[in-house]
Amino acid sequence: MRDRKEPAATRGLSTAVAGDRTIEDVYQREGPALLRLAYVMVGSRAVAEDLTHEAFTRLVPRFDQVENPAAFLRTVLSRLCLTWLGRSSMERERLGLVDPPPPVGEPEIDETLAALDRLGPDRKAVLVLRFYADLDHAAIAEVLGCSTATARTRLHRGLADLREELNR
Amino acid sequence: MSELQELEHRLTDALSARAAQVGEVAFSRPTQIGDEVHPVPEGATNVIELEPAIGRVDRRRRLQLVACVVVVVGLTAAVLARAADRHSDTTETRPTTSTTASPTTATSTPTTATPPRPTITPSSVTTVPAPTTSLADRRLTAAALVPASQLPAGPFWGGLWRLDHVTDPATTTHRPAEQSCDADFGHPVAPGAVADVQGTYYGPSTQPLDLTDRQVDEHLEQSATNAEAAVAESRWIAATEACTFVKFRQLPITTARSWPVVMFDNTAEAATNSNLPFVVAIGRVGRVTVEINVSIDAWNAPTSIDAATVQASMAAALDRVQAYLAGH
Repeated sequence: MRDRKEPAATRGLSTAVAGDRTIEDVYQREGPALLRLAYVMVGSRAVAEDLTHEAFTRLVPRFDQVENPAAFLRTVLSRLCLTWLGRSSMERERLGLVDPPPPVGEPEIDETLAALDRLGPDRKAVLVLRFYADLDHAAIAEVLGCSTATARTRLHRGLADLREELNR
Repeated sequence: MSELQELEHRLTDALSARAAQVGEVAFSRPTQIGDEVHPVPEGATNVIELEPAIGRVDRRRRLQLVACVVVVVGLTAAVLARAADRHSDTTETRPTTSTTASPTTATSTPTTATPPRPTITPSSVTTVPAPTTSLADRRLTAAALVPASQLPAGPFWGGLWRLDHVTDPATTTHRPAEQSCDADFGHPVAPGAVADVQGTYYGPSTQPLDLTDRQVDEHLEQSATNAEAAVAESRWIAATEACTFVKFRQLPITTARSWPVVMFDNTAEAATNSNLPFVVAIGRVGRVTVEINVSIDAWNAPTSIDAATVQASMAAALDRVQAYLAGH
């Protein structure tokens, strides 16, 4: 396993081997942090809950084989969110199936979040993984299934795009 | 503090604020998973006990799916009834729109009978001469193809069409996702774009843990056990295959994924600069939904694909859809 610091979003989450805990333990322990991660990505509580539970359904059949359930869930959930963002962006815009996330109430934060939401799914995902989940480049690459160089490039471009959005 | 650091801090604060909107959450079994409280049977393992809870979630999704289908079927029936009333003073008989194995042209003529119920056979494509609202006319047709002149400005870097089995409105049943499939066709693109896409979305070696089903889930959907072959097949993007662009003009369709989809044109998405595929169109071919995606990314693909070439490949792509369906 790659040696890296424990990310903030998963701090306190399980790193134990699946064999010494139950799926219920993992669910209770990891669920809230995963839900927040999904919510930050998709901006909808209902969708975030749905995707979080979908991630757990992916874990159940292979629970015994997964060495690190927290990492597994984080990876699966991130990809589910990415897929959802990519596929549903137009549906959300045209059909209004998902309400926009409620504003936080602080202008600067709301402006930043609005700019973030205008980015493409992959840009948004990589920024969330870096600056919310606090993953390093290698971990982001692992989650997104790309090379570390690609993750670094995407992060750089994501920040550039965010800055551009904020300056509009 | 540099501008970059300031931006990073600002973003971190914003994301933390959004996460805080979730509030305190307690994930406890079973009340947070399912709707009912089931006592744990004596001697039962947690895994076994969790599965019925997950099943309840699935049942909820199925109910949503069925509800969507009922709405679609109801609306369609109403529209057909209105169309029948409109032409009730004529004596011509409207033929039942039936799609068979051979490509046919479905014509809409006045009828005095009850609204025709489309018979859907998963191996056909009908051409629709005029936009109507009947289910039979919502199928993907050559007439729905976007002319080259209407294609968004390139460059394009690939595209794919996807087949998802959908709920049959006639029977309100649907095939399981395992039986659905994908077929991808792409244009050759810039080497950098190929590497980027393959590394991100198609490279089997980069999949951490045991996530081969992600390949199936996102792209191929043939079977979890066939993931490696599917990945090999998905190396289309470096090959010289056809790429399709189809324009939408139909109504939402409920897919087996339990999310409603609707057909779109993609011009509005051309400026988002994301390298994820965008939905260009979703249409029906028999019992399946054909979803055509295309990505447009200026920085990623310096070489534009000729729009005329794209248009020329449309008919061939539809033929391949039919050929695929005929074999399944």
